Amino acid sequence: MKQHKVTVGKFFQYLILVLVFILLVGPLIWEISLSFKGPRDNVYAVPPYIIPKSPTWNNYVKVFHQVPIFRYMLNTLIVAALSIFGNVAFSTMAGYALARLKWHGRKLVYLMIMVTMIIPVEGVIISQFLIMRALNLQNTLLAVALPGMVGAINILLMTNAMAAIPNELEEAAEVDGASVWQRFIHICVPECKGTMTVVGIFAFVGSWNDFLWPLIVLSDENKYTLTLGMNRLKGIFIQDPRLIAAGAMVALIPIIVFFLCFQRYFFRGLEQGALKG
Amino acid sequence: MKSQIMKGLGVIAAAAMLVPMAACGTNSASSSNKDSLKGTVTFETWNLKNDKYTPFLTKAIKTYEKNHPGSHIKWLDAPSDGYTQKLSTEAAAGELPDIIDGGPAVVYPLAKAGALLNLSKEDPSAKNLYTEGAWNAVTFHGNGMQVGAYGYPWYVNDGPMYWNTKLMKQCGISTDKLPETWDEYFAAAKTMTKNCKNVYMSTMIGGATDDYASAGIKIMNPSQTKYIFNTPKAVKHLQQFVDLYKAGGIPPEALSATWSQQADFFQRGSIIAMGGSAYSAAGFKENAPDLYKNLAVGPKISDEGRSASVSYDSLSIAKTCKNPKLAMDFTRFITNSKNQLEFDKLSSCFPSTKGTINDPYFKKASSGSDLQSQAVKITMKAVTKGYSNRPPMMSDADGWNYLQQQAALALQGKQTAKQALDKAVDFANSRLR
Amino acid sequence: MQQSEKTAPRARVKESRREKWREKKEARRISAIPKQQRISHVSASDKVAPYLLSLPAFLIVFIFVFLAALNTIRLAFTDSTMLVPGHFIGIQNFLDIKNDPYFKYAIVNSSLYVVCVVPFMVILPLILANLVRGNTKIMDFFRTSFYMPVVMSAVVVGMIWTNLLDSHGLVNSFFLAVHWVQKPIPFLTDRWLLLFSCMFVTIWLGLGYYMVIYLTALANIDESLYEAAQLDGCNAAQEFIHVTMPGCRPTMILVMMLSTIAAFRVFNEVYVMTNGLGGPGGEDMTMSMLIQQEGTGLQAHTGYASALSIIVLLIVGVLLIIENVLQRRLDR
Repeated sequence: MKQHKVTVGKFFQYLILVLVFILLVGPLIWEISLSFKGPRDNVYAVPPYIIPKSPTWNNYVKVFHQVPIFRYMLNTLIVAALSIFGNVAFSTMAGYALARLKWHGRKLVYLMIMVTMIIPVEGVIISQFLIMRALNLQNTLLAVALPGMVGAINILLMTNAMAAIPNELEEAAEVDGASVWQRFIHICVPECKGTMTVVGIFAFVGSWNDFLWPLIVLSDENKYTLTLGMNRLKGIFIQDPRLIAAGAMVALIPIIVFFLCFQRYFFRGLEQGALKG
Repeated sequence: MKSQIMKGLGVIAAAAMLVPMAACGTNSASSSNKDSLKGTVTFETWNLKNDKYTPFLTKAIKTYEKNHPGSHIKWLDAPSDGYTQKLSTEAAAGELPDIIDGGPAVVYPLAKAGALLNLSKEDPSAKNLYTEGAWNAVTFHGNGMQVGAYGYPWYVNDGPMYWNTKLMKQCGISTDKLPETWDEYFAAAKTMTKNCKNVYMSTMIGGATDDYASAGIKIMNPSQTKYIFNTPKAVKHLQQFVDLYKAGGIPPEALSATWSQQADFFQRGSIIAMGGSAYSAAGFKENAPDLYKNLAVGPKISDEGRSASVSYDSLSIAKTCKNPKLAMDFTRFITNSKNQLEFDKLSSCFPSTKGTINDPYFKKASSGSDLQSQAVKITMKAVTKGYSNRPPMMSDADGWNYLQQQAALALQGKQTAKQALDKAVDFANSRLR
Repeated sequence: MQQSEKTAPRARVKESRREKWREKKEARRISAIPKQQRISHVSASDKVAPYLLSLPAFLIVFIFVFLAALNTIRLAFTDSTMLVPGHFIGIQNFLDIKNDPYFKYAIVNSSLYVVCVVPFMVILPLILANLVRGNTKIMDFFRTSFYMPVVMSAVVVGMIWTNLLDSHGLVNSFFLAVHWVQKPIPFLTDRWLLLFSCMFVTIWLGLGYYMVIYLTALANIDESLYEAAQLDGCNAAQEFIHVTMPGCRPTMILVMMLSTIAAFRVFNEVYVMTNGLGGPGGEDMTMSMLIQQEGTGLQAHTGYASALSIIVLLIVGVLLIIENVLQRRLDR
């Protein structure tokens, strides 16, 4: 009887997954198809079609020819690495302090972070630029990464994850005389690996896709990030949608790889728990 | 402890709030000997670093540097999107590049804020090098500004009207003579709505100043202190769009469409006509090959016999520039007749220097029978006879969007044409200062 | 922790969870902490630890966001434009907001966005996360796919959905072909339908994002809870209500807060779906679009835009407080 129930459940599960897949990924497939369409393909055909009539790699060749992809990708990776490090390390630390320790000013700091999260960013970008200039950092990759190195949302995510750790775990260690640092590193950090991965992915995607801030803070093209470089594909006089699609695909690949590699860690905690039981 | 924090906070905040729109001295009075053409200037173009233009610009810069030993031109190029945001941040921080690329919509606010050199004062002889229309486009006055030209004119552009002849025939519109005036345009639209369903005329809705200026309606008073485009004639004009919309001749999407969406509609074959540029033809050929075979070009719709939608690009010099002599000299060089001609050949744009348009190249480019040549021919006439109708002080937030939105409401029947224009004029006037 | 449980499965579930932790604790205690260090008392280093731990995050947030935002507050009381500093004008900007024709639309649309979008954002991604748990290759594939909309650029998203939804788009062509409708549905041109279309895109984008957040929360729910629930004969829906939802409660609250902030400040989706115009007549303008329209560009009214920003900040703050109070009420 149980066996039967599982199969019906599985059937519906996969049915829903496939439907959601079509809904969420369909548009992406359209982009992929567009990026392979050649000059004889009518991009605006009604009704639209997916399989290119004159498939070509040419759009990709053009992208690599027009944009120094590898240099820009390296720049973006540097920014992304800084951002991932900052967000994962600093929000985990702050999350632990905010969720599990008692100290003066905790509420104030928490409040400040909440307020930061709801500040409309549209207005602050010029001030940020002025601060960067005062620090003599403008036109550096560090300046691109700095304001995003700790996201308020990530701090909240980590605080939430830290708060979810049962008190018993830490109390036992405390009884044994473990210091705050030891409890943090040996007990709480391993429990939060899943959320830390998520924070890392958010940080990666955020810095990978950011456009306006790098545009404003960078003036030297050798330091451009990938989104800035890809924007070049938009011609000032003529736009070729195929070229833009190919550029978007190239920029997307690293994110897909990154996500594929790290998503399994979402379940780290679960595996460990389940194995012992 | 708390008070100390507050104090520290105040200090940093004060530092951050300083808006150093510093007007660095330019020493413009100094004599123009050769020595002042030494040093470095930064030259920022807008989205011109690519296969097409990079070879030309690097070569031109090299030539200049060779002829002026000791000079160094640092070429920067801003990507397509976010250009005004980049410029405005740089301007607010007093860090504009020395030579700035942009049309009147960029030049005017910078000039008004005192961030640009007044070339009428600094380089009065430049005026004689450029066509009158181009020079006028960068010359500003009123609203507390020092009268003068604030940029060296660069490339000029406009375009023809593209017509889908297959759709025209299908809907009973004669393709022998393309509509050129608004009366002809609306007459053709009437024919179309009678014969065709689900085909639209164009995405023009009377939501842009072009739509009025080309019907002979003045956008501002001569002293540029007030908007006046709510005359009875203008109301009547908008009413024609309202009627056409009601008859199903304008796609509902046009109410909030942009240029790129208009191109989508046209290339998909949903609309009969579209205003484009001379180089749009190449795009159609590549993106919508089926459509390309059925295209015809005519001048943009106008009752005045001349185009009202010429666009001018120019190069301005920032006041913060440390080597203004060099910057001005180089900009004169890059916008001289020879260099403009070469740039125009690459970009299918048109020159702003006097007489350059008479070069045999343009004659040749406009004499063919293919679509591109015809488009060039029409555009050439448009840029030589036409003008720019869009007041430089009318930005998106200062009335441009508002006009389109009010027109959209009128088309939907949510208000009358008169209400729409009165409101748009009031709004735009309230934003003037 | 000691509340009385309403249902038997839940009680059993809690007990088994507690046991799990005890085992875990035992394992950790022995392996993780070096022996010689277990003796020390509450040391000075423990006292400064919280400050050191939160210092890097505090500094970055404080300098690059908080301080930068102070300028916004100052500007809100001036008539500054982007390039001209302007003068102090008291609360004039706030008075002007009242007469702003767009503000009325923007406040209504942004508020509606919160009401309509947040419930979906809290529930749907949780269901989705529940469906893609597990470390199999096929689930890896689905998880990665579902995250894709999140990483696509807003411009591409806008292009795709406007093409799908306009009067000649795929959706309308389909409806017309199967005779569900007589004439195209004005997804992009009717004031309300357009707003709902934008909300749909927001949900479409948010599914993958919040799914990822929920996945980590699900990982913390013990497998044995599900086993216990199954022994009690719960079906999938009951399991979801009695095990998954209580297990993810704090995360659901977090997602509610995050999606509330995002919904009230929605910008990208509406911007790209309306070409930056806020729909016909600007009737679909949202608060962030209004701030953007006023506050960017070379002639931007930065003073006025700052005043609008402060209004947004206050409203979102109040919304969060209300949600907090409601949630505490429910807790009791």
